[in-house]
Amino acid sequence: MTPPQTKTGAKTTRQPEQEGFRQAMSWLHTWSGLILGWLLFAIFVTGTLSFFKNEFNMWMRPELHGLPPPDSDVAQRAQAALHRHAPGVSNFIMRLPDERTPVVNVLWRDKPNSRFEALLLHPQTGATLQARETAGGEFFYRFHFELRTAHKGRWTIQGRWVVGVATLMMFIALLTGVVTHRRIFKDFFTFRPRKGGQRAWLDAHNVSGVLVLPFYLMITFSGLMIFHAMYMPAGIAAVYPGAKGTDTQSYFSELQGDAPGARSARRGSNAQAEPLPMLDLAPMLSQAGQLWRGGRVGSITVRSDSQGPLVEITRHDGDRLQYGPARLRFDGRTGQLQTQVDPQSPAIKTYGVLYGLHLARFADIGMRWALFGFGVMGSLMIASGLILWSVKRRAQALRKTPAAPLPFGERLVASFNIGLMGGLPLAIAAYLLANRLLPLEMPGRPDAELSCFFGTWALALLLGLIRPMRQGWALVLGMAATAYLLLPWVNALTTSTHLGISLPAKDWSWAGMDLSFAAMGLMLAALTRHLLRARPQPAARHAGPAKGAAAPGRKPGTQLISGDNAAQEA
Amino acid sequence: MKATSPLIHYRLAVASRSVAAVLGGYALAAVSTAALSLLLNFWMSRVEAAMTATLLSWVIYAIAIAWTFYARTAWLAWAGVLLPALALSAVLYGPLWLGVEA
Repeated sequence: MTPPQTKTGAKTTRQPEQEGFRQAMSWLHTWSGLILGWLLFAIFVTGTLSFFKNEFNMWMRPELHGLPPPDSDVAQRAQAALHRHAPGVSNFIMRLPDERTPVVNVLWRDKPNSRFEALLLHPQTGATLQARETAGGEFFYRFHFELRTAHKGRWTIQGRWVVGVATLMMFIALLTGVVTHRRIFKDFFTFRPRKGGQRAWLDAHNVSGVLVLPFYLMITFSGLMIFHAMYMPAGIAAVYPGAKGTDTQSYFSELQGDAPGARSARRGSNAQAEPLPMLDLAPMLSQAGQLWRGGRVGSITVRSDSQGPLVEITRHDGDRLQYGPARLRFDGRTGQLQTQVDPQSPAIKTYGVLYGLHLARFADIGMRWALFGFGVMGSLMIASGLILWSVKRRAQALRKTPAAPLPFGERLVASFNIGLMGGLPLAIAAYLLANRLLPLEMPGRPDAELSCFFGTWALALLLGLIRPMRQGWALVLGMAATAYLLLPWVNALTTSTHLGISLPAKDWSWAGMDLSFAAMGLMLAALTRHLLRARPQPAARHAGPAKGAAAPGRKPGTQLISGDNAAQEA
Repeated sequence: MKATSPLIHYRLAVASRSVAAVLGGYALAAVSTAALSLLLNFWMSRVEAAMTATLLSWVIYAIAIAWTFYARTAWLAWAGVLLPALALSAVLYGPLWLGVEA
């Protein structure tokens, strides 16, 4: 089956159908974009924030501010502290401190197949650190790929399916977009904001769509591949037949460079979970340093099974592009190196590079900001497309009848644009404010933070439904601007990690957060000001009729309350 | 899918093609991936075979979807994805089913 899908082929052989094909594509693009746009927007925004997951995790635990650089013996001290804290521990994963997360992060359990408990330890002394309970940056990360709504997971499989379908649609839209887009190169250089209205929105949509197209292709394709065993299991099922369907366990073992059923510190039956003894980690760590020629150790995984303790030392995932990192496996009792695991066969490596590109663990600060910028562009591409849908229809309606009322469908889309897109930055600000303002000893605190997030989002949607036009935008964005501008102040009043301390100390990973919130607040404030000021003149109506549509019939002055509301909200 | 046909008919045709694209395309991609995995397994390890085929599956999916919108009629769109999928699965699973019966 080889469909002649190039444009030139279509032109020569089927002149009459040409418009039909493009028309169908355009129709499909419009409607699938409308249905999936809000979801993709939320996925893009939270994914973009996840590039700074570690920084959010730290900022949302201000108790961890000001920790010293790690000590070389920290793993041993942390192990001792873990044994004091949990004498029966039989399985743990210890992430060693690095420059982004200067704290020892331990996940441990003492019963087979139970949920891991988290423990934070001092990077030098190994002492237990107390930090507030928070969903942290993990929430953005989890929402990004499984639409997580509760701190300890809920409907995560369903969420992954929904995200997968949306990702696939975006991937298809990108590919068909490339095939059908007549002027893809020209659009690089076309942006006419002065033209106003529909033209400007279309240009914005095209520019943000075309400029970072390789990034979108990479991010959607790798996103599909990360969950390939779930989204496209047919190939695995064909070559990994098992007693009960597919032998997925063996597949994942081999994918990670192990023989099926190999003894591993990560997987395997934990039925006889003997409490672990104290192990001498230092010789293993120094051997790892030699083998990796100074490469950093990322984490240490220890598990006991019927043959005793097994230690796995994983290289830092920031050391290279390919994910996952190389591993060394030691016998815990003798300290003998058993296996070096680092599969490098072509397909696995391709997969690992795609995975690594998506997670961006390799990225240094400059690269990280660049990727963040691409993510922002993607969010703007989706947002401008959705707004274009509204603006275009409004312009058409007004051209026919100058004072046409808003039909139900268009009103709904306009409301959703305000509530779901405009409301998202507001909800994120509310989530961050909740992190600072909720009582520290509150039970179920992470879920309360999430309630603030989803509650605010719902509130914004309600506002959008009540005021589906310009006023609604101004109200929601004005509230968001106020909330972001308040964040550094609230931080200053509730913690000792504020700009007054982090700026003089040149503590950029902390100061950068507050400064970014302030910048976001200023940008949103400028946008709100623009929305409130730029009243369309009657003469300019033809340029931006959709913008003017909100004005007639609405009481002037109602939008002025936005500032007060935002203050109460915050 | 002519421009002169009524709007509702046109949209139904596009909707039918969309379903053919998403579901039919998936079926074709999945069966092709299974077949390709088995085929590649002759030359490479099974994890490499499965991963190579799965990496390519999305390309197959994309081509199948492009076909469903390129085909002259919605019927052809369906036939173009379903017939190869059925043929491939007959080759793949036919012997298995016959073997089970025998």
